[in-house]
Formats: sequence, C-alpha cells, structure tokens
Amino acid sequence: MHKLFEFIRSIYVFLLFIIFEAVALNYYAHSSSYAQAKLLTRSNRVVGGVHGALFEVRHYFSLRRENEALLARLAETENRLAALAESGQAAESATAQIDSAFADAAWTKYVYMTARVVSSSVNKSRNFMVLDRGMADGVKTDMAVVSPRGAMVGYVVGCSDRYSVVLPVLNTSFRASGKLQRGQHFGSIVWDGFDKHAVRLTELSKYAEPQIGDTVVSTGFSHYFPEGVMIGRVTDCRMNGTRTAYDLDLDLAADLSALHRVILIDNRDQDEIRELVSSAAEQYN
Amino acid sequence: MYRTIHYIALFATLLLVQIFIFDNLALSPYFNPLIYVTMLVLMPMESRSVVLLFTGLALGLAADFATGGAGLNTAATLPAAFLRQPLLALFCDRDDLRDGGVPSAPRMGGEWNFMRYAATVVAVQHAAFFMLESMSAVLLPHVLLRTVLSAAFTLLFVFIAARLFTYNISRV
Repeated sequence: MHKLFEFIRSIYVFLLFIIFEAVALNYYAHSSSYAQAKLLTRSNRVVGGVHGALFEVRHYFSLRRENEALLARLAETENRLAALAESGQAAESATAQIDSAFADAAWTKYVYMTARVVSSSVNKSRNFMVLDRGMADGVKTDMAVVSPRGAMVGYVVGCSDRYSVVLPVLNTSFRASGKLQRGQHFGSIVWDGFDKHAVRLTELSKYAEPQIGDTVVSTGFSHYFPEGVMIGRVTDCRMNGTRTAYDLDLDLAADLSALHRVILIDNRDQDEIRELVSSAAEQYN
Repeated sequence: MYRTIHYIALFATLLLVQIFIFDNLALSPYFNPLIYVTMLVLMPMESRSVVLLFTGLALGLAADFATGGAGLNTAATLPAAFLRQPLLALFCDRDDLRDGGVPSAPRMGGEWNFMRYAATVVAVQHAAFFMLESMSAVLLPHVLLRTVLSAAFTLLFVFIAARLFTYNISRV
C-alpha cells in the first residue's frame, strides 16, 4: 500500500495532466457551436464592456467610410421614393399611398433594428460575432443579421440582457439555403473554414445552369432570412463527385472583417410557424 | 517570492492582449496567434511541474471562457504545460537549470538554445490547437499553414515579451 502511494506521488503530475486533458477534450468534443455561443453570451457579461470601449476606438477610424455608405444608401432610397411618387398619377395620391404603406408597417412580417458589432473574429473555424443589443432591446434568438448594404451575415444564437451572439456565415456550423437570383433552383450555403471571402453553394440542381458572375440570394424557406437577401456572386462552378449536382464557389457579399454595424431582422411569423410545425409533428408522429 | 507579482501581471497582460486585441484581429483565417502561451515559455526555470500544469490550465480556461472556446484552448495548452519542463531540460544544461531564473538567452547558454526551446513550446501548443480545431485530415495542408504562420508570429511576440519581461525583472 505504501509503495502504491509512493508510486502515485511520483507520477501525480502526469495523472493530473491526463485527467485535465481528458476532461477538456471530452468537453470540447461534445460541444456544439450553440454551446460555444452560450458560453460566449455568459462571458460577455464580464468582458462585453471592454469590447464595447475598444469598439469605440476602432469605430472612430471608419466613421468616414460608414458615412459615405449611409449617404449612398439614402440617395438610393430617395431615388426609389421619387420614382414611386412619379409613377403614381398624382403626386398627392402617391404620397398618400406611401403614407398608408408606412402606417401598415406595424403589421409587417419583418421588423428591423440596428446594432453595433462589439467583437468578432474571422480567424477560427467557429467564428462568432457579439452585438451590443440583447433581450432588453428586443433581440431574440434566430433573428437574421445582415450588413448595412443588406448582405447575409448570420443569425442570432444567444442573448443576454444587453448583448447577443451571432453565428456568422464564417462558422463551419452555419447553415442556410441559397438560390440563384434568376431561377428557382436552390442549394445549401456552407463555409469550409479557410477563406473569409469565400463560401460554397452545394447541392444545386444540375438543371440550374449556373454561370460565373451570377448572384446568389437567400430563399424564403429558412426560418431566419427573408427571401432575396444577397449572399454573394459565383466565382467558380463545377459538378460534384457523383455528377448529380453543382458545387459553386461564391465571393461573399458581406465583408465580415470590416463590419461595424449590422441590421437585425425579426421574422414575426416565425413563432407561429414553429408552433404549427411542432404541433403537426406531434400529431403525425 | 519577489517575482510572483511580475508573473501575475504578465499573466493578466497576456490574457488581455489575447482576448481584446488578437481575438478581435479579423485579418485572415490563417492568422490566429495564441500569444498567451508566452506565459509558459517565461515561467521560471526551477518551476515545479505541477505549478506549470496549473498555470497552463488557468491560461486555457480563461481563454476558453472569454472566447467561447469550449475546452479547445485548455486542451491545446495542457500538453505544452506538461512538456515545458522536459523541453527546457532538452535545450539547456543541467547546471543552468539548477540556477533557475527566467528562461532567457544568457541563462540558457545562447540565443540559439532559447530560440529552439521557445519555438518547440509554441509549436506544441499551436499544432494541438489547430489540429483539434479542424478535426479533419483532409484539411491537413491548411492546418499546417495555419499553424506555421500563427506560431511564427507568436514566436516573434515571445521574443519581444521575453526582452521586456527580463528587463523589468532585472531592475527589481
């Protein structure tokens, strides 16, 4: 017995190492992106404030570029409004039309709000993004996140009171469906973890006839994104190994490494749809 | 121990720099230096293995907590912590080892010895990290490139940090 204790004492550091390592590996191997997002949500209660302060500093240097983008977006919207007003027979009736459209806005399916990116990474295979709005501001999990220019960024997977965590396109666990803007064929968007500007559209029907330069947008099937959100442009197309579908390389429209502000989109029908699906599933299982 | 306070300051600084600067540095998927491993490189030469192990554990847990790493940083740092002492013995004389102190080129009998020692510790940790992260043999060339680029930068960081740190300590 005494010898056993002596032996254990001589190798206890090694034993400790094996135990710690086994626990860490086991925890890591069983953790999903969602578990990581949850951890990040928790840690942001502690480090979120510092991230926010550092963001202010970095943000200062991009104000000019951001202003220009906003102005461009504003001009575009003004143009559209003007075109809409002109296309109506009388200017007054058009304005009335627009006003009534906005009055109904309270019942639209999608509600938009803006948020600042507090921290984000693109250098891991499971990247996340933290926003400075949380449950207190009405952010919920599964809300879609798009760039100020309206390109796909990700969706919310975790919220604390004041912060929320986004699973961006640049996370190998990210899943969404995408389709060619011209035509109805769709496939799945995946990122393989290496190029922050490139994602793939896989399993696109072989009848789709994709061409380099085609625009890929979101489909309306996803719970997260409205239909027609810009994803990227095709840079390369090839048949997959079994020659049953296309694999496309896309140039991602949103530059996630230079994103300071994002737009959150809440699909208000989502809860209703989900309830319906789960009750249907219960009924027919 | 008069150096304890320095080491605590080093620990905190490295983690802050890692979490708030390098983890936010959205440059490229190939560039993800894990500079907190500098702590393991610079732990005193006479450190007991169990102290090193717990230092590695603390580094890994803190990095995991702050970056949502879910055990990845811990799992990658523990082997480096466990192997730190044997690696040091490999690149340094028994007498130098017994004298103790902060590992540095003069104490280890030359720049080359210190460089090889630091490079091995950094490489062990970075290789473990990127292999665990990708968990796939198909992507091996990418994983290697990632490891080499990130580790090279970390090593540069280690050299600068080692100079600053030994300079501060020698003034005490």
